[in-house]
Amino acid sequence: MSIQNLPYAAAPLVSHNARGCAAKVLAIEDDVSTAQEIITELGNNGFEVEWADNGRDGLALALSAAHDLITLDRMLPFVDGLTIVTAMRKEGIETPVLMISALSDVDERVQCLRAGGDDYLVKPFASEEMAARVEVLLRRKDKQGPKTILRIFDLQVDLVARTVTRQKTELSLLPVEFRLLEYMVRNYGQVITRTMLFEAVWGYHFDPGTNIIDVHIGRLRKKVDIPGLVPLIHTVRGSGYILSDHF
Amino acid sequence: MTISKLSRTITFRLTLLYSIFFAICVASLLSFIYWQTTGDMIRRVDHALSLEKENFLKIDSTRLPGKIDESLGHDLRHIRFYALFDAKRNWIAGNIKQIPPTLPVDETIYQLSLTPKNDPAFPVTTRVLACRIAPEEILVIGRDVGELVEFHQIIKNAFYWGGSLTMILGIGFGLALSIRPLRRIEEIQRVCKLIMQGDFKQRLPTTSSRDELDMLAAIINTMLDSVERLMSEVKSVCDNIAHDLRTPLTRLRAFIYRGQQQLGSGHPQQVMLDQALCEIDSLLSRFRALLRISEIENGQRRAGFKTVYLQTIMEQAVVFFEPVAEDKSIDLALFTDNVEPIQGDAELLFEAVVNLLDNAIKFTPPGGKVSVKLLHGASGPRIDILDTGPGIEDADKKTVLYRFYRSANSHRIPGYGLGLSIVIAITQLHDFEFKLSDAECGTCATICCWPTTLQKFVE
Repeated sequence: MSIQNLPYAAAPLVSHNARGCAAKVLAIEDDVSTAQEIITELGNNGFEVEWADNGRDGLALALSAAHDLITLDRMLPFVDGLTIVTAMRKEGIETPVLMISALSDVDERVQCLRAGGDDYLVKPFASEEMAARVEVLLRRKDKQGPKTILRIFDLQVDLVARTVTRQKTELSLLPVEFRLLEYMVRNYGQVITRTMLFEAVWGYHFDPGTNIIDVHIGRLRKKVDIPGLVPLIHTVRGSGYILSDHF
Repeated sequence: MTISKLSRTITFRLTLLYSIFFAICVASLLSFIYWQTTGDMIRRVDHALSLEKENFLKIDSTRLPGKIDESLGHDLRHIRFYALFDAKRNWIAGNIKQIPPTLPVDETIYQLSLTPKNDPAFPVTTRVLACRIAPEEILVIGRDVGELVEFHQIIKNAFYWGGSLTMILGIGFGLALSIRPLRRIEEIQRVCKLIMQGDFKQRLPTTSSRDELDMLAAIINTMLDSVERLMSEVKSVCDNIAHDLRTPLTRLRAFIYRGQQQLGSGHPQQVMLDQALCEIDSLLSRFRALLRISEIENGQRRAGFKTVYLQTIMEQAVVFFEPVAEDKSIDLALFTDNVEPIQGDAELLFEAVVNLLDNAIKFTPPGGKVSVKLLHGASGPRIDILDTGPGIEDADKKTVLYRFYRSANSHRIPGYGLGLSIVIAITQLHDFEFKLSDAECGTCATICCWPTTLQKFVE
């Protein structure tokens, strides 16, 4: 099915991959409404989205290795999502895969990640959460080997010494704050949701149902965004946070 | 399977009861036989004594000593006693040395102990009477009834030994009979434990014997079928409502969010759209919590239990809440004993502690204290979370555990009334016990991290 047939066609491309082209995302999703959401949201974020509405077509497209990222539904007609990701990894195709499933239990998540999925999102999902995860996966893909020092604008994070400096002034961060900042710096310029922060820093996959992440970020912001300097941590209304020097 | 367990079975108790009843029946029968036999023997002896007395009274008194000697001469078994005494009770003839002092001379038959003249060392039990012959002489006639005493002893022995043997055999037989039913009860107990843990697919075992236990198991199995069906229906209705509403709500949220993005910041409708998003997020959080409870309650996560170090979980939870506690000027303290690791789901246990800590901090006024303790409990580690909040009324201690229940003094505090339901679902999945009690000033929420329900059941 062509994306042009959908009421919410992808918006003009602004997001680019490492080669300088618009990042290409393959959405393998049999549910039309969900596919519309993915295409619209990713289109709005500057991705070029191709859509396959069944597992057979999706597998053929995935094996062509012509995409920067794949959003893959777990349950599909003809060939299921697990088979597709397994076949891709078997063929040596390392395209990042965001698994999307209506099944929320831990076993399902573990099974998908073990099969070769890079992240897991439970339906129904907030579209900005999906977009944020896609961006994080693309950023992870573009990394050029392990780094020991991360530098963003005037902020420097030393991963070995576990120190953070801003304009050569060392910031005193608690271990939790350091991990939060490290994750945000690694995903500089991308929207990060509260759930993503909770999963990355605490390693648990449930909704803590409180505003505690906001409180942690608030404390981190007080330490990082020193008065007189360019603020780096910004709140994205309705979504989460972004670390950027030009928000 | 111990003797103590076997002795508590219904089969054993019934067998013991039957043995006691049987022993009482045997004793009654023996008593009846004894009573009938001795009564008949005494009647016969008394009748013979009366006839002999009549015969002696017909004989002339001068011939009486000779007749007595003649009669004694015919008594080869030495069971008869005859004696003639003068008015001063001096012996004239016969085999009794003297008239027993307790024997009245009134022709009535008594049972007394007589001392034979030829064997004074061995008194014998007799039926005896004394009567006057002529004005001056006294005749004593007796019959040895020692056989009656022996018969009494035999019956007594039969009663003691027979009764004891009946009881011993009854107890032994009762224990032996109890083994099979007890094994079946233990099997039923094992299956019930699985059902209590949430595995409603299990059914009680039945056999081809169609005995009372089979009848009971069949009824309970039918009942379990109904319970499983009803629970499944109720659960699926709740889950479907939550699940089916979640998808359109998420889409609605996406539309509003997208619209908000297109309007741009500073547009007068932004505030209203923000409020709409907050309301939808609140609804979605409730549905997520409901589905989370459902997911935990289905028990499938039990399969993923691993070794869990509670110290790590407690430390993580305290670090997680430290900034919130600091913002409210609440002293958040952690005390951990070096407890042994347990089998469980670390993520769920963390979630339970997070929910309890969230409540404790929300309800504790600024300047208060929240203590998180990991201690050695009765049979394993125990988690205590104490706060200095307003506490929970005794009447509310059970109702706060209901879904969506919010006590009167909690309406100003944000929440959905589902946190404790999640905690209960998690503790039940682990077969742990959760309880709320009064702290020194506030509430103490406790999770006993050992299989308390099963322990009670086994006990």
